[in-house]
Amino acid sequence: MDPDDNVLAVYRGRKLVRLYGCDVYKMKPNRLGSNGRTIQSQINCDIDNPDLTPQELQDYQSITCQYCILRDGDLLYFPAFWWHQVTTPEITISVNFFFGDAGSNIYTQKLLNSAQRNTFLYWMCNIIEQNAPFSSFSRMLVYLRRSIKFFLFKQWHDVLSDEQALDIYDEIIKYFGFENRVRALEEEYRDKKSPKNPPNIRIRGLLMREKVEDSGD
Amino acid sequence: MNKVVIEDEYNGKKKTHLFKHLGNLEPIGEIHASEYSHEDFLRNHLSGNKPLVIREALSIFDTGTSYKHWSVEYLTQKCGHNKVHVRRNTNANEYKTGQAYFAEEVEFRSYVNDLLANNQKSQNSYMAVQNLRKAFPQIFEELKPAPFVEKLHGGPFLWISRAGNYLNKYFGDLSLVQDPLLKRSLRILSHGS
Repeated sequence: MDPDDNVLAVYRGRKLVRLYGCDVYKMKPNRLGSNGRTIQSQINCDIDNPDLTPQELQDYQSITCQYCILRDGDLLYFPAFWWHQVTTPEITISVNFFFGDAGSNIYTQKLLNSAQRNTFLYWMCNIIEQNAPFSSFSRMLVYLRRSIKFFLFKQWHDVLSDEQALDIYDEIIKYFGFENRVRALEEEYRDKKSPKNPPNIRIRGLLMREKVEDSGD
Repeated sequence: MNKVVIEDEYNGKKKTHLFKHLGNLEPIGEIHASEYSHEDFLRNHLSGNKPLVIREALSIFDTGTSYKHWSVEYLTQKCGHNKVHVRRNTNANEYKTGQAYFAEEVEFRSYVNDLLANNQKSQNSYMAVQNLRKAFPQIFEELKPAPFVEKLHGGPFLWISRAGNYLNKYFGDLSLVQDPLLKRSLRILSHGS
């Protein structure tokens, strides 16, 4: 799944698309992320008996799979954070655009108020976690509200309101149970001058993790 | 197991395609592009978290000359010498589990030739996501986005895939990965809190 609304157009050939909704937890997300902004599932949907625990199987069976065949000239819109699988039975030319709602923060607001909310927050928390092994992480936690704003500006050119940034911030802190750590850090940083630019939240996909030990960052 | 079979014909060849799922299986809602209403799309789909297939959109919406012109031959004629990134060894388990990524820069026409020959190399390769503006500037101007694409986040990306290609970039086909790196990052997190 990707963090953007998506439109896929087929110019020549065929595409078979399967969508599995936007509940991140029901499709066994690979917590390592991937080499980019996407989240990958660990379920092989092509086999009849995927290797799953009874609970995982129950979750998977509770999902509705929506399908289509796209022929040349057709276009498919599907929302951000929807699980999708695409196959091509012919030599196929296609184009996709990632996009969001016009306006300064309408897109972020839409995600925060929709069924995609939990998945959006999962994605944010996963990216935060990718930054956790680095020594700069404490500083990031202190200025996290500003870092979140800066990050989503870079991602989507959305300018978040203070309320939106706080909403995301609260969920991240709660998710990791960072309340005490942040309190202690804020005490430690109390007399320090606030930086001009907040610490940079970086997407460090699966492959980048291996560089954790090499990089002083 | 729920199953749906769709019959299709392309280039004079009939094929059947199977969709199956352990849970509910239903078609994505669809309209013909002549029925498209911008207000309805914004309300029920863009703001309604609901996918939609729009049939024949490329010939009915104003999408520039791209749909009329673009074929593998046309793209090769215009952009054959452009450099593109191609993922190799896409059948390797390391690739499928997202642990390794082999990419090579080649001329676009060389990728296409392998694709058309359907040779061993092409079956193990996939042209990595190409931003049209950067990788194919000669044809970028021929393309216009759908009317509801208002704020671009990324792309447009061009995909040219072989018959039978499985886009594992997006999804699935990952076996369980035992990864010490994950354990390490979790350990660090629990130390900190």
